[in-house]
Amino acid sequence: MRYTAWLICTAIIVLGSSAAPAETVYGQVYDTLHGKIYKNTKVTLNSTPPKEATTNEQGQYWLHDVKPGAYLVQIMLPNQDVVGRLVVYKIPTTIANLDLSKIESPSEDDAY
Amino acid sequence: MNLKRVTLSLSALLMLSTLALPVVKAGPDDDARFKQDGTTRNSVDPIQNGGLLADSPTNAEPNTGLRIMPPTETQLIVGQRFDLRIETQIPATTAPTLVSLTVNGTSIAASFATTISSQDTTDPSGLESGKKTLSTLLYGNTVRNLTFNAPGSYTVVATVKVDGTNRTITNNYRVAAYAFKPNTVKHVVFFLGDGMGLPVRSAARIIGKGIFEGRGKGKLNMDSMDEYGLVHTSSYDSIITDSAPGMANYVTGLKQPNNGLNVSADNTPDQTLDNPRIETLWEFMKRTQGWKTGVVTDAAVFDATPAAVAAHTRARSDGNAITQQYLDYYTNTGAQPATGYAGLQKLTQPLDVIMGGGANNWLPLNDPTLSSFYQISGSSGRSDGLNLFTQAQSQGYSVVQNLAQLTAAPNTQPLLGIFTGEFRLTSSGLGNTNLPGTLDRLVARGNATIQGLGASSSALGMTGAPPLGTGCGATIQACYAAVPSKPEMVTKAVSVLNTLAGSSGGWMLMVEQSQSDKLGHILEYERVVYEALELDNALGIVQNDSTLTGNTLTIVSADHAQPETIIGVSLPGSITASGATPPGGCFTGTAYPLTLGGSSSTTRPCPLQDVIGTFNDGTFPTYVDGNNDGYPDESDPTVKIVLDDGGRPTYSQDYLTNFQPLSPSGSSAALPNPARDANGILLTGNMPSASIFPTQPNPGAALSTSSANKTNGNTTVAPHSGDDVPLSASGPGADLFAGVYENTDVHVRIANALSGKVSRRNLKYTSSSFAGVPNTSPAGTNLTGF
Repeated sequence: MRYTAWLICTAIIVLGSSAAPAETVYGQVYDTLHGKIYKNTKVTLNSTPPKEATTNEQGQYWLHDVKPGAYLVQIMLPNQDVVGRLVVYKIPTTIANLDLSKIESPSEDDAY
Repeated sequence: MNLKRVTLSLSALLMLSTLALPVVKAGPDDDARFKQDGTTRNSVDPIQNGGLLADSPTNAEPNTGLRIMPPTETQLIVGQRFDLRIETQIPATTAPTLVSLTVNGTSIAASFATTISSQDTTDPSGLESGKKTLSTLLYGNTVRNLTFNAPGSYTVVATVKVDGTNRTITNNYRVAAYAFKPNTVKHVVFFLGDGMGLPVRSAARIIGKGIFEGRGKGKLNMDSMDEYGLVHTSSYDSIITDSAPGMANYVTGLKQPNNGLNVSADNTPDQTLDNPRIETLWEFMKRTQGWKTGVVTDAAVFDATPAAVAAHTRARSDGNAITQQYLDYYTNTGAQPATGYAGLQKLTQPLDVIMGGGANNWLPLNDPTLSSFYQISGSSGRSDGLNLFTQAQSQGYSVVQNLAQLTAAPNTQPLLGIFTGEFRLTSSGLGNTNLPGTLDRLVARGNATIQGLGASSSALGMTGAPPLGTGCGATIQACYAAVPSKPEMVTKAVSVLNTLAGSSGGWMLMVEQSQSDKLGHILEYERVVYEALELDNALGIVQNDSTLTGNTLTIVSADHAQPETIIGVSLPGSITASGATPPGGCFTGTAYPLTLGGSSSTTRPCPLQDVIGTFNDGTFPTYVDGNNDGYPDESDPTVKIVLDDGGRPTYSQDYLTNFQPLSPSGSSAALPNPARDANGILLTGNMPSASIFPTQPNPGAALSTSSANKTNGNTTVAPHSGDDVPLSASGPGADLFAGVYENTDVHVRIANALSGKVSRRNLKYTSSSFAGVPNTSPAGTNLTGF
């Protein structure tokens, strides 16, 4: 009986997740160590096909119709591209601030 | 239920699920190596690019990102100042408005609004309220310097109207009891071994005290303290903390974000000095009891750990502002302005003892002392033109630059000591704002050798004149010998603090051994152990000072660990006896990578691992302290301990102490530094490489596969780790520190010791789940400061 209950519960979870609702991702691209916001910066989510957005004057970006799950995200900076990871949650809007001070490893020992 | 029935049920379930599921073309499976047909490779290799998790779930309303700072469950003490911020994170289409704000059911919305209005009148730019650059489509307001006046649990509920809909978020705060009790604890000394995890403490004991037939021949000072605990070190936004929240969490009760110093995150990331702040115990004791305070470090003195007791910024890199905050010196011509920071100026307290390195954040651009004495390029000075040496002198500080001046400085004045850094041009990986490491200073004073060589050997790089002037001495050796040791600094700090505090006063001192971390990052493990021994010897100064007996709470801990560990022993003599390498010869070139299986005596990998004795073959090391100064006389004895790292860039290792600290990596994290142990064994890195794209792909193109071999990147040093760290405590209140707890709990425990509560039982209140917090919900009117 215990197993049966567990299976039903699992079935509900599986069927529930099969709806795979599309969510919105919002965030800002910035660098807290330098107090810098990255405007006009392209952000690419590695979904299939990839989803792209460009940050506005406040460094904000939106990605719509994204299914919950784990993704890599590519941030194209003037002289380099950086890859971070983000998890899209099953909530109306996932906040995915991309802080380059956190995504990138410090370039010098003093930042550890 | 039998197994067969379970299997059938699962099969049926899977069929049902398959029928119900549409073909998934995007979503989580995109991170798989292959598409759902099992053979076609996804356009994105999920492991190729590395990088860290971009963001973490937090306690925020899911439609708007509405949140309250400090974060929920922050551990405050009665009377501790903190800033209260309400903000949204997702832009609306119209300006959001605060609808209600309550504390334990009592509305504080009117008080909040009135105070914001007052702050905005004082500072129309919006800095004071934390909204200078805030979009009008976001909500954000901060009221500065509030306090809870009674212990217990508080629930703060905020509702903000966003695009016509009310959104609500709730935070809980646990406010620990605190009532200062004079003459129980009069001094608090917090020794912070940066990155000093358990393996480093173990290695320091074995190396510093010796071991025979499996029994230690002695104990470290930190081994004989009254109580021990284990601390969880995670920060607000990462399981692996950096040194900023690693220390700041200890002295505030606030889980802080990486790179942050006594602040919470906020929605104006371009303003690093306006974030919601929290008062440190150092500031709290100075404000409430007039205690004296100090920091002593071997890092740049504005570095994250020392700054964690006295500074407030979202960016630990704000060195110019941090040094001003140390002096409580605000000027609109400086990196730390006065306008817009009235709340900050009210919060910070000047330190009475400041010692460490890093003159470039104290002296202006092109100041001659920077180059001629400190060997720092004039272009590294303060861009705001301030000379904080003269400013400190005008505020009554003695300013000293070397051991002789330190010794001669009067104990009756506050003290600023900024000493010479590791400036050898032939060294790398440490930098000239950090003091020379313990081993190198011992060598400079003639008290230790490396591979049998002393300072007179040119290999150690100390025989020549300093590169930019002879202000610190005629030779590099003389300059390094004139840098005070940690025991010398602590001796002076205690004398000054005792004198300034007087017999009726008290003081708080934080002593950091930074290079147990900094030298660990560059995998200079022989030097790391000397650092732990120096911390321990400085601890002995405090333990043996009769003026501190009986009323001093002494704590020794680490802000985090690093992933190094003791893997065995090596026999340096067996390496050098037959030449530079074991018999047979091996790689001696500088072009990587090596060819595995190569047969040439000059191209094949070195079998240097044969000189390591591991597991059953790990005999006992043979370090000798003949001059009885508390350190091994030679870093490469006949049998030495080997530490290796669980997280590292690619580097070469010959199991001999490098003559000078050297970066492990070469042009990238994937290549070793050819100047370091080029004849050594090549140890392949296991760290991610960030910034790996050689060129920017076309918009919309798949991520570059050419980067999969990680031939570029900036993860060129070993990282921190997420292990718990040991904490040791002695003196009145030491009993409070036994157990296993969060780093923020240390704040509550120190506050209890200062309240004269010296038993762990004092932390437990009937029916309360929170250490030091009674099971009550006081009236919301206990939130004051509006």
